[in-house]
Amino acid sequence: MEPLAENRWTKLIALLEPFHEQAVATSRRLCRSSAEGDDLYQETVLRAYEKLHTLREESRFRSWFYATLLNRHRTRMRRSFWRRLLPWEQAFPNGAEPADRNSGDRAEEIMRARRVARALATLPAVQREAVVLFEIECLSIESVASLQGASIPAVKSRLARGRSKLRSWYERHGDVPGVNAARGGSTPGARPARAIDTGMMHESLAIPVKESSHG
Amino acid sequence: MANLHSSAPGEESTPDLTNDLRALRDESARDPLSLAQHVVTIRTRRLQAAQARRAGFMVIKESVKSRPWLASGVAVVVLAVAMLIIPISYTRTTGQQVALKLVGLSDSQLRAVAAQLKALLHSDHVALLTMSESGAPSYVLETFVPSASGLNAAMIAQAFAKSLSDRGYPATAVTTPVRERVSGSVYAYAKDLVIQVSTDGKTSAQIEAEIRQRLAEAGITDAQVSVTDEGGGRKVKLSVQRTAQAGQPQPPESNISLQLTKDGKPITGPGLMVEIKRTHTASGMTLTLDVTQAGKTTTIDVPHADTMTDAQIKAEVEARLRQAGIDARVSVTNGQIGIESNH
Repeated sequence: MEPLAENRWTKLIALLEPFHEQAVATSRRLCRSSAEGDDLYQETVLRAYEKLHTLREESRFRSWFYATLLNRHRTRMRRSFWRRLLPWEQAFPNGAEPADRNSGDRAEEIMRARRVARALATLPAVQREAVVLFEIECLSIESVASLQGASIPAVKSRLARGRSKLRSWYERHGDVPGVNAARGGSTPGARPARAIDTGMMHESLAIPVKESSHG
Repeated sequence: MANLHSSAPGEESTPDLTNDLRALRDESARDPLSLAQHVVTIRTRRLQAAQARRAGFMVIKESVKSRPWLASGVAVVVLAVAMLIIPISYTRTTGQQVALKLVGLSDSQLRAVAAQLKALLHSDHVALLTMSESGAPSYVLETFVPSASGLNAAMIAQAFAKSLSDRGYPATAVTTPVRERVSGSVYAYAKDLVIQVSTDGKTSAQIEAEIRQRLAEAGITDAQVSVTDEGGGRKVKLSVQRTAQAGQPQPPESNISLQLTKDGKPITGPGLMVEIKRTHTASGMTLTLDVTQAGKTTTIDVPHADTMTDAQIKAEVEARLRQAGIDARVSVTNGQIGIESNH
């Protein structure tokens, strides 16, 4: 890679590192799944890399990056228009986590998260952003307005409408079938799992290494 | 971690909704890939996209040359396929089945490896198979990576297996393409279509009719086809225009190729391959041309082309082609671009 391009990556990584994990989390909250959220985040990072020369003040990088994230999110929403025509089951497949001895609370948390992710997916992009940024990221109305490039009354309206739609969704769907799919079953259309259930799948452990050095 | 905002100003929340939002906050913050891992993935995808583009991701191959009865002029072909909605049934690769074989790992280590594999491949789930070989237990972690993910599953799995082996955990990865019979648009099917037309003993009109028919069989009914006799030779032109709106679903790239043959052999020559895209955004229309001639490729972007005159567009494209060392003449009429080789 050319030296200039490599320098640009180095600079971008240095600017992004302080809030990388938070930005990943925000991306995931805007999307229907962690995988989709990671895709959105990578698109945003790539866009930031391509447009880094337009950043005037490095002190404003964070808000600049988040604004880019929201733009990419809206672009992806427009691109995925046709997915809305899919039957519900195809658009929101019930992904079953492999059985886990310690399912309990964790499984319920996962299903809660998926349920609200499904509900958020039914909102227009700007309402979804407003709800995620205000309710989950705990930004102020003024901060949300600044990131969305909208007025404060507009953000308040988006929040009100978004919450109203979410409440309606919960009233209509209530206890959706997918919420209780944590303990087995298969994902419609997914590859059949030929696994022997050892109850060993759990996502939270970091991989141990025999040696202390890393590549 | 800060508490959620309990409600928007003046609004009330349902307990389920509040708890679910809290769960989403916590779950979405779990196990993020490191920034370095994200950057590696981005750079890999970027490189793959650039390679696919250079390989002629969307190609119309045109050649009339080096036969006494063929003209030295080479037709310029621009092919873009409009989205079609006629469903047909065909077979295609839907994804990759990845199997990672491991030996000598404990339960906790297997969990950790499965979690990392799942994260690297963005899989929905990972299945575990336990086997016994010569009395010793071995394990296979299996997962499915859809083609739509855009990931090079084989490369990632191999790299992961190598990193495990280097750290003292013997591992091998096997990736198998999964092919299924699916229904899709004719456009999707046409992605791998090669149209071969023999010129033996045929007039220009017959060749033109045959090209039209073969395209129609592939579902492309709005192509502009012209085969004419000029200067003792033959000139072939084929064009299908497409226009994309930024932010709208982009028609996927296709690999439709037109190949003319004589005596069973492809006719080749210093052809010119051109791909033209017009992308409309709120700030205007950007014209993008990918031009390849005799191994030289250049991409020409003309932003705000909708505000330029035909003469301005022609001058800009000609200048860029000269810079790239491509010998061609450009014509622009009412925004429609024609590029022909000077050979």
